Amino acid sequence: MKRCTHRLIVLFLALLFLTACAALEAADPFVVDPTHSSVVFKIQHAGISSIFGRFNEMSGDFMIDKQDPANSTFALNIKANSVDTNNAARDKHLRSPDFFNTKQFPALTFKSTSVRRVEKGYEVTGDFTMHGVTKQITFVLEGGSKEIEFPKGRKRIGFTTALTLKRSDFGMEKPAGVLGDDVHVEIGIEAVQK
Amino acid sequence: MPEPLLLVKAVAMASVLAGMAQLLAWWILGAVGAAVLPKVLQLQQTRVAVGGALGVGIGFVAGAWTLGQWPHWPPIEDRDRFLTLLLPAAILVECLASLPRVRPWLTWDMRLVLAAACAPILLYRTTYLADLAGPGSREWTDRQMAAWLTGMAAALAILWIGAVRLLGTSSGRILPFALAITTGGAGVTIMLSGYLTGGELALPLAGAIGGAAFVSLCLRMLKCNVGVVSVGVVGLFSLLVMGRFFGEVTTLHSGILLAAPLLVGLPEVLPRRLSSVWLRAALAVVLAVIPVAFVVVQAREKFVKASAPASSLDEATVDDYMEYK
Repeated sequence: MKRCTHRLIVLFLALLFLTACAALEAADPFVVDPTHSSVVFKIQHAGISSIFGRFNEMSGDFMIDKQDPANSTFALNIKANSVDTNNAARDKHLRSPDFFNTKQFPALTFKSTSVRRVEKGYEVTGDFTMHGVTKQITFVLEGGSKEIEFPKGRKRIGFTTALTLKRSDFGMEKPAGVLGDDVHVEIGIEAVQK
Repeated sequence: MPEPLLLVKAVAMASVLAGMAQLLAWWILGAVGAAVLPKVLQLQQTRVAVGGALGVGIGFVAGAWTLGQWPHWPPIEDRDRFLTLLLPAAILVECLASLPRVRPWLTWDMRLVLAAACAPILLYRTTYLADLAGPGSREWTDRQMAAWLTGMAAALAILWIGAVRLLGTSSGRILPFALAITTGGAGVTIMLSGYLTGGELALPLAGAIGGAAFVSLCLRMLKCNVGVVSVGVVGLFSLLVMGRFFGEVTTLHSGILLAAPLLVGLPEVLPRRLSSVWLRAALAVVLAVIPVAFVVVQAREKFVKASAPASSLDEATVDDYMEYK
C-alpha cells in the first residue's frame, strides 16, 4: 500500500513537471533583432508635404503564447538619441528639449498590458511613454503566424504595424505651425527566439 | 520657427512691465507701506532691491507668457525648473538680502547656496546625473560630475560677486545694460544651437533687465540696483547651462557669454584724469558687445554650415525660417 502511494506521488510530480514544461514551451520568448527591424515616422511639413525619419537603435522582448494569446507580452525600447532624418542640424534640434529632450527622456518605451488574437495577428494594448508622458495606446501587430528558422536552429518571427500619434498628447506641441501634430509611425520588427 | 513680431512683442512687454513693476514695488514699499509694513521694508536700499528683483521677475514671466512659455507644475523639464524654482529663488534671495538686519555674510551665504544649487537643479534627472537608460548609463562619472558641478557653481559665484562689486563703481550704471545685451545675445546663440524654445526665453529676460535698467538710469533714486543685476545674473547663467547641456552651445561660447558683462569693468583701470565719464561708458558698452557679437556670428556660421543642403538645390536660409509664417 505504502509503495503504491509513493508511486502515485512520483507519477503526480512527473505529470506536474511535464505540464509546467509544456506551459513554458507554449510561451515562446523572443528578442528583437535590431538589424532587421525598423521604426519610421512621417510628419507634415509646412502643410505641403511630409518629412520622413527613423530611429536607428532599438531593443525589445516578446513572449508569445499561441495557445493563450492573453499571456503574450510585448516590450519595445527605442533610443530617442538615434533619431535620423538625414539632416544633422535637424536631428540635433529633434534631440533638444524643443522635441524629444533626449538628455531628460533618453528612451521611447512600450510595454503591453493586454494582448488578444485577431484575424491578422495580435491586438496589443499597452503603455507608451514618450517625452516623459505615458499614454495607453492600442494597435494591431500584423503577422506572427509564419515562423522561419534564421539562422538555422533559431526560430524567427516578424510583425508590422502602423499607428498615428499626436505629438501634442506627449507635451511636444511646440513648435506648432510649420509642423503637423499627427505623427504617422510604421514599425517592422523581427525577433529571434532566445 | 519663431515669429519675429511675437518676439518683439514679448521683449517690449517684458521691458515695460519690468520698469513699471519695479517702480510700483518701490512706491508701494515706501508710500503706501508706511502705514502697514515694518520700517525695515521702507528703507531706500530695501525698496530699490526688492523693486528691481520683482520688476525683472514680473517682466520676464509676462514676456515668457506672451511667447506661450508657461511652465508645467510640478516641473518636468529644464525650462520648468528655471521658471518655477530658480527664478523665484533668486528673487527671494535678493529680497531677503536687501533687509538691513541681514548681515553681509548671510547675504553672500544665501547667494552662494543658490549658485551651487543652480546647475544641479537644471540638470536634475538627466542622463548627465542619473542612470535613466539602465544601470551604468549615466554620462558623467562621479569625478566628472563633481568637476562640472563645482566648476559651474564657481563660475556663477565669480560672475555674481564681480557684478555686485562693479555696481559700486562708475561702470555700475552700464552693467545692467551689458547684462541685457549679453542675455539677448545668449538667446540668439541658444536658438541657433538647436534649442529654440530655450533661446526664446532669453529674449524676454533681456527685455526685462533692459527695461528695469532704463528706469534705474532715468530715476536717480533707483540707481545701483542690485536686485536687477542679481536676478539677471542667475537668469543668464541658467540659460547658458540649458543651452550648453540641452542644446549645442559650446563650452567656449558659454564661457565667453558668461564673462562678457564683467568686461564693463575694464575701463575702471584707466586713469580718471585721462578719460571722461562718457568715454568710459562708451568703452564699457563696446567691450561687452564685442564678445557677444563674436559668439553670435560664430553660432550663426555654424548653424548655416550644419543646415547646408546635401544637394545642389537652394535650400531655405536662416532668414527664410525666421520670416516663415
